[in-house]
Amino acid sequence: MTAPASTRVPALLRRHGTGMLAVTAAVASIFAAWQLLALAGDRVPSLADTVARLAAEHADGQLMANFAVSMNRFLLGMALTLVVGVVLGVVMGRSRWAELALTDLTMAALAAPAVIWALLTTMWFGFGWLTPVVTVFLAGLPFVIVNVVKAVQAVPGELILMSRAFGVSRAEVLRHVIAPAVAGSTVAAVRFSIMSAWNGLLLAEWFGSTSGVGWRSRYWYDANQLDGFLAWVLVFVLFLILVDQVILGPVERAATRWRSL
Amino acid sequence: MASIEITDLVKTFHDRAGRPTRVLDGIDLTISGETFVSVVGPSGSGKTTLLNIVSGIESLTSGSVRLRAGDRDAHVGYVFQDPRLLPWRTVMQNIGFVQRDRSGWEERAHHYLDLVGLAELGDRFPAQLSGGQQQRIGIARAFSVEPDVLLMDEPFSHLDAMTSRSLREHLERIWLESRRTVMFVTHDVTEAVQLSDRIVVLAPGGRIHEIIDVDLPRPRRASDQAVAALQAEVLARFEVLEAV
Repeated sequence: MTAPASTRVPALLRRHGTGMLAVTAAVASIFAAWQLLALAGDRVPSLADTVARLAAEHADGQLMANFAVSMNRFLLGMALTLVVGVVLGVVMGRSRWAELALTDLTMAALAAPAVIWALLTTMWFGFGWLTPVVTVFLAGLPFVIVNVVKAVQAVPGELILMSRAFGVSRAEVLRHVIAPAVAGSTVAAVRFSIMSAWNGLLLAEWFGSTSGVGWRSRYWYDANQLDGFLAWVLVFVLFLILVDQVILGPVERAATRWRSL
Repeated sequence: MASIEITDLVKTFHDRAGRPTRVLDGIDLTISGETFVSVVGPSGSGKTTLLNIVSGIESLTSGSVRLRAGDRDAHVGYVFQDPRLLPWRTVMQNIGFVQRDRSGWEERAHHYLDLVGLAELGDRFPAQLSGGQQQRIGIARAFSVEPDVLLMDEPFSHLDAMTSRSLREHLERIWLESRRTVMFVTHDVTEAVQLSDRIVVLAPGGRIHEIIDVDLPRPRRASDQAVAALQAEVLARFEVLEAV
């Protein structure tokens, strides 16, 4: 027997957690604010005009091509960020000397806005793939380091001693004790890192690229076509919300499921 | 046959100013074969430090500790004051985690879980168990590695009287079945008398004050007349020691 629709909806919400609800609420509030602004004056195009422009960009092949280029750069930069950030975070979390030597530098990097990295990398590397990739790396790195340091320092020492008393190998301790202990904080680190890095990517492509989401946004900005510009901002924002709420949110909940038992 | 050989063991800690404090002072002790030895002593007499050194968790300042099983190093199991279970792993995964010999570990795990009365809880996470159940898992985990030497550090001290009495009975039953070499640290004389073949009394300053042989039939109950009489006698000696 099929459950009535009235009971299916809450069941769906329960199954998918609050993620779907949060995404829906976030998107709805963005669109509502947008429509209000469009109605208030003639400087903001309507949502319908913007979506129509986005459809035109898609028909033109620009949407997928530029999005794919940006994703390519973003994934490469984020992979570097995660590898270097986790290694540095673990070293700083376990060595007092490393922590003393690198904490202030990390905090300074954390305080630097993504636009600084975008401008610097444009001056260093000019127009090319290196500029956005290095910007993603630099904008995301401090968030990963700070959270991994915290996570490593929070690894329960008594569980490490227990493992040692039973003669458990270092590899097994890393896999079954340290990794699960730091998983929650690491996913949180990735969430913050992605926001900052994606922001950096847009700016780096704006200033120092001839392709990608950021470059295409600038194209419409330079043409003084607000609907084109906002169409790409929409892509930028929706991507962030979807990745955060639909992928990373559930991953974080799964990694910390044992806490809520 | 397994053995723990401790020779002229000294352990000195240094405070922040570099001042030394000797917590174990020339301990000589040999525990061999199927023997259950308890180490009792007042707070600060170095009981837990002694056990940590024997297990290799802590280093020694001088002397030697050898854990042997025939012509090889002994395999060690450890039961801690708190259960020290991985909160993100199930009971069975916790037991599997400490196995060095993977062959047949699941059978052993089920066997010892059954002996501590928790055969049905292998799929639960630690947070879904009571404190007493978690400690029983800790005991099952330690026995499941089939250790030559089992070290126990006040495993019942955080539990209420009823639970700890029940766990003592579980422990004695498992030990009678498995007959490991056990070194058991406790501040509870009742516990020591009920479980031990020998009681090593440590004095403040980390010296051995005396070693008492407990020659009573097993299984023992705290209410047995002979057990109660010996408890009273050891307690009286212990109180004298604490007053010094």
